[in-house]
Amino acid sequence: MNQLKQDLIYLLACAINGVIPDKARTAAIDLDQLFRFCKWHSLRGIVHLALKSAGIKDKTFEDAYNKVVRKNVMLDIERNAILDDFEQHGIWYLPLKGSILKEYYPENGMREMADNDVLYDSSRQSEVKDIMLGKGYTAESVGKDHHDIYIKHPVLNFELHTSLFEEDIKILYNYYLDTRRLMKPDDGKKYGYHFSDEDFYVYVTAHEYKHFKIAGVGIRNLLDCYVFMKNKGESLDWDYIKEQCRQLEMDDFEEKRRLLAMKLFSSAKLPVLNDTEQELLKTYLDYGTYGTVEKQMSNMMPEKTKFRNILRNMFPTPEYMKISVGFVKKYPFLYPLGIVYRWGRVLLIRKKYLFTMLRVMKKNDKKKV
Amino acid sequence: MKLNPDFKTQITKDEHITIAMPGTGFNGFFRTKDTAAFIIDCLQTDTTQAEIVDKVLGKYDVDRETAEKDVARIIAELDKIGAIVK
Repeated sequence: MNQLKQDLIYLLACAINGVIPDKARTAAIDLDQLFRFCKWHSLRGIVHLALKSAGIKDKTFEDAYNKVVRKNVMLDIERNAILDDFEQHGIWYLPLKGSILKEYYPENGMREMADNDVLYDSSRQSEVKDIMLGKGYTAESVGKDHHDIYIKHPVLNFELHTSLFEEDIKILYNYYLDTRRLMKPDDGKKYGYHFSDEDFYVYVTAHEYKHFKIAGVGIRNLLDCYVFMKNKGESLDWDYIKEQCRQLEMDDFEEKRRLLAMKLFSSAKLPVLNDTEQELLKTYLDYGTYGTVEKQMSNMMPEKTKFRNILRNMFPTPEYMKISVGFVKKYPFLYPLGIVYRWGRVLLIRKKYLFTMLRVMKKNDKKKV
Repeated sequence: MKLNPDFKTQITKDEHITIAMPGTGFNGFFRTKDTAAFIIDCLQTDTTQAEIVDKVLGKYDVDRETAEKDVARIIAELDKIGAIVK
């Protein structure tokens, strides 16, 4: 692991545990390089606080941190206003992920949020659309995916989920098909819900696991895990969590990722990691917050030969086709038309996608030699 | 006068953070604690500078002259960024 990555882990461990980083070590860090890496991993806010506590002032980091604080507050205010409207209209809702996780961090601005995720009563989709349009949002995508996307420029982005997972990962999809069984009513609200701490952790882990498998995820997820464990770890019902993770076939992932997170951030001193842990950490460092297209494509090409991978892409499984092409989701019998549409789209609109795919195929070929 | 409705305050982790919603021209935020946060709270409903001073005197152990100076300074700062509507 290079020095920059070690420094990042050091600064994160310091910030999250309220330790002032060593001034000499911190002063020796290449801040431009660190900023780029932190941006890719959505960690500029927390690293700014670590640098600041060591007496390092950097305007780029400070500006980024201020933006994080402002955006988080703005998202909170907007989410509360939207959920108030849901209450008035009798539409049930369940806030998810970042908006909850960020509250476990010790200081404002430590946890960046790109958007706000909320699960809601999908039978009220058109009313929700009216509410969002009434609030000045643009409907970027409604009814095409398992979440609707609403945007208000320049920074407000809401993902309103009609379900928690797509059908392509059957085991996750089936487990969360009836999410309501896991929802607990909020105090003082008629239509607001939350997960128990255990179910929240299982869901966040499942969500991370999905992205980990598809395109990779960044080290912020390990930090989220550590922060949640630090706040809730001892009070959780681990028998229940382990059983749910076993049902979701991610028990091994959950345990390895949790142990790595605890080892990594419990102390400012970089721990000694075994080979498996080092390998796992490398994947968290090599993919940014949202993974990489290369990794995603590589996963989409598991066949041994280039020809087979091309065939697999030309004729994807019916489940994948439903996600890839909106009209096939509605009318599955249009699968053959979906094939023509997908390739027309790649050749005419998504040329970059095609080139990335060819690059990944070439890379995979080299690996096999 | 009162706080411009496009300026919103969120209390989070013991801090009062006030931001302007997009389109107001003010892209920053300000953190307030204690007296300043209390003054911003008073401005959530239509009020006067004298009423705020009285409320500050009722809540904090401070003399009238200091309270008047503090209230005037914070209101002037808020006014400068467009956070006050009269």
